[in-house]
Amino acid sequence: MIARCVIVGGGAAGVNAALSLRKLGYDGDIVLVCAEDRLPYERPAVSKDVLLTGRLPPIVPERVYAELRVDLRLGRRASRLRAGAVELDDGTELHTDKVLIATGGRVRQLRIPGAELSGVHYVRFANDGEAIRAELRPGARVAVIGGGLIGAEVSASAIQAGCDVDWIEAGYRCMTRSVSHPLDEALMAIHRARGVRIHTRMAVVRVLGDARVAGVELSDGRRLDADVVVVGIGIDPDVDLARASGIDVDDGIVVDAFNATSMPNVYAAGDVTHHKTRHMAAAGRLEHWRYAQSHGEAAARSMLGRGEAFDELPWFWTDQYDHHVEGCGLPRASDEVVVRGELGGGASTAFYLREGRLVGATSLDRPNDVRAAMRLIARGLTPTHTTLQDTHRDLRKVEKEMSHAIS
Amino acid sequence: MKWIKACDTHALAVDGVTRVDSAAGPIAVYHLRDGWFATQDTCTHAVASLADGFVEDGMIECPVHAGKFCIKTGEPRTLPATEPLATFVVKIEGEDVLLAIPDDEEESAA
Repeated sequence: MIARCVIVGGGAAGVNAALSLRKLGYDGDIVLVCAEDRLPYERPAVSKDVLLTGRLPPIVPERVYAELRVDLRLGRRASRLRAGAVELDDGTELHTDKVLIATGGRVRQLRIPGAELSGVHYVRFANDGEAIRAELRPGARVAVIGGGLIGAEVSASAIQAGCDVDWIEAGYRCMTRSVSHPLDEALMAIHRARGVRIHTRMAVVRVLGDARVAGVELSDGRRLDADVVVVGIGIDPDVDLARASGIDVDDGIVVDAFNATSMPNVYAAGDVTHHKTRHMAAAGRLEHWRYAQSHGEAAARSMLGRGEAFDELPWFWTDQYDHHVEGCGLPRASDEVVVRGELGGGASTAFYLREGRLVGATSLDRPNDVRAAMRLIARGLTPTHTTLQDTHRDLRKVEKEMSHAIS
Repeated sequence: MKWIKACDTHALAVDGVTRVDSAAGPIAVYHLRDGWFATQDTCTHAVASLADGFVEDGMIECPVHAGKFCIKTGEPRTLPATEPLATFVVKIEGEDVLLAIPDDEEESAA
């Protein structure tokens, strides 16, 4: 019998694992160890709502933890696992039957001269978002380093706060890792139209200033004035606990399809894991919020001995200005692209086909296309090119018709 | 309370949803296999119209952040949804789908 489960990490994966354990009927102790000293919150808001309004929604209201008898240990880290026990950083030792590691990631640091100056910010935790919000005054000059979704959302928020924004990316295009081509370019055009100066194929070699940031120097020698620098160049998995406990790590904690690590009775879920599903070309890490939630739920099943092989189609969203972008699957440059709607800033969707089969979709302001695509992909269905391209065909209906036809 | 007409019964296929404006705000009206149902149209998580969402297995999935709610009870079923939707009584008269809209007083008493 399982009398206690300890979950380390209060992000999407950890919290949803705790909630899922109860949903699945588990009646024993649940201890949720959270490094931050605040109620677990929706991390996606840190790079959007928090910057603009300060609003930070909790993942679930505080009362839910009491109702579900989840013992929250806020402001604590786990330092080591031994067979049957978890050691916390305050010396507490928790005896336990099962452990879930969901420690997430920590931001990659900028390693250039001046990176330590006041006014250089990273984006991961609520405190980070609140510190940046205090700096986004109208007229402030903001240099955003890193062309990923975090950089995109910070750039959009800074423009909306009335700031002047330079956005710097080393690659050819921004956001392309998540927002597949050609919608990455459509979205970059929206940023430019809003006044963001985008500098691609450019590195930042130095942060300028004495005690406080005054600008950045680019790899072509140009200098940009800046009052604030925000860095979003990715995360590395937080594997300290796994390493200290002798668990296999390879750019993340190595887990199988049932979230099991190399240590008996120890599982891992979310951004911290190195895993493989049929949707991925190779084993690796995925860093999307909803995916981490699902991974946490899958881990809860496995911890109770009711695991099913994890096979979730990756899905993400990003909100920038008044636009909603989302995508599913992991499109590759070699995939065939079928476009619905007008590219260039209008509502549009790109569908990705591999060997003639639908494998992914990315949409700008057409989320239903993506939701329908996810269901079609799950059932192995691919509408005709004409249907995919026709904005008058509601893909929700197409999906129901096609699913009905095969059932 | 008063009844308003939402739509015709043939206007929505099974697992279809449509939005109706009312004195009680926008309402999402659903046609499920076992009947007609209605909830508030605005998601309780962020600003989104649920009538633009996806109906499946008796649940509505929000088109913005994908939280799911039970259509019959309004209860949240998956994160990030945590607060329930208000539900409304629906009846069918001939080919009319009718919605019961509470008066302001009743609403504040509820």
